[in-house]
Amino acid sequence: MNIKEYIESGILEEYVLGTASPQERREVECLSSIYPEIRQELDSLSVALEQYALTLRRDPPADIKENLLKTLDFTPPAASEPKGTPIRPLYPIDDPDSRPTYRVTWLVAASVGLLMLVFAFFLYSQLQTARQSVAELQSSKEKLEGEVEVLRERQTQSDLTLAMLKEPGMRAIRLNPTDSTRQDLATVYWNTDTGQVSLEVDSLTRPPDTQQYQLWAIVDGQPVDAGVFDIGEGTQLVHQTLKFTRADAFAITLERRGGSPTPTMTAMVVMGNVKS
Amino acid sequence: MKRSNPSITEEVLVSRLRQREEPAFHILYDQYSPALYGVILKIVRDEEAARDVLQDSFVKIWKNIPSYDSQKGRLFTWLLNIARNTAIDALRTRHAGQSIQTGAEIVDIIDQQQQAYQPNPEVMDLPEKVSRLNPDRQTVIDLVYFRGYTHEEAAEKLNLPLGTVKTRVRSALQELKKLFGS
Repeated sequence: MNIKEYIESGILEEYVLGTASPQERREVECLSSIYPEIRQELDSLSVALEQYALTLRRDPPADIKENLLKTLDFTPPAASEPKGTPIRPLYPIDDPDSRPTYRVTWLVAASVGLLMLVFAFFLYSQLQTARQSVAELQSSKEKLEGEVEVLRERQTQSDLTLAMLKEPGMRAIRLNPTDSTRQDLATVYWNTDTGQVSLEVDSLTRPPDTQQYQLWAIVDGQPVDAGVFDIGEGTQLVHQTLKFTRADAFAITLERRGGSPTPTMTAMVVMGNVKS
Repeated sequence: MKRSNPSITEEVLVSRLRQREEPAFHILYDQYSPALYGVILKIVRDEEAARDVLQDSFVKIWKNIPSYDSQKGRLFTWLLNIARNTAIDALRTRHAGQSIQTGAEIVDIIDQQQQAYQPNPEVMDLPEKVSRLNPDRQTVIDLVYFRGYTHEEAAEKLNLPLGTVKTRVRSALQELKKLFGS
């Protein structure tokens, strides 16, 4: 169509003056939405009439506004659709939140999130268990190391004892309790060649701090001091510094700390004869 | 268009009017009621009637603002058309009770009334721009726009061929367009 001709036909003027027929009005509205030139001409004609109207301006009586403020309904319109036939859009409104793909996406995202949370918790508890195991292993390792240390110590002592026993001229003299109700027991290893005396305490009661055990060698019926010794932890071998080339028997008495020049016979704990 | 409240756009104003916000009504009324009242007064030429028409117009505006479509036309033009149609209707209703009349008879009655009406000098004192409008064209515009004459009625009234009336209407509007420099 020829837009210029349409604009010049006078129908737009009829439209803005309100004299166009309803059919013409619809036509103008339709065409003006399609052709910007028509829309522009309509607007400038409207503006011209508006300007004309503005020249007529007069302030209305003040009470009209007051009346209107009393008359008009200022309550906000209800958000819901008016009653009657509900208006449904021809095509579903593209609400992104309610689209199936979006819902699925949300579901998947939520599930993945939950799974990751559960997995993280699982890993955390695994880590805790592992840490606990490590701590347990550490303490048991330390315990074992301690035990190994003790065993090695004992092994060394046993080796020494064994080596000593293998020496020529070595004799082992069992010292038995003088009081048969007691379990006291000790062994003297005496090398008759070198005179070296060693003592293995099998079981002797630990004496008070003010007292000490003292070993005696009975030589020619006379007790000779063979040195004092302390009771350590467990069985131990005590090498005495005094040497004897002759002895009939060995005995242990409980004396005051530091030892006595002569044995207190009443405090004799164990005794063993060399020749028995 | 002068704005009493320049911080608010027409679009915002319309949406707030649709929410029936009282402050929006104040803006609308303060901004447009003088022009609407002037147009109504020019049509009904009676201050008492103009009061009623202005009030009725705003009731209609308030009721119909949800159906206003900015795609179809300017807000001020829409408001003017409501006021103008309400005024013309009121004018016709006022005489409808007297007898059954044809359009031409109404035109005559209105015309008689116009002659009887003592014009308020203030109202009639149009600015120089409008008075510069060709008198023939101004007559046509006033008959059609402010009296609600159809082109045929105007042709009959002015004793002119219909085509001449149409040409004058168009020329008058084009002249207004130029006068107001839009």
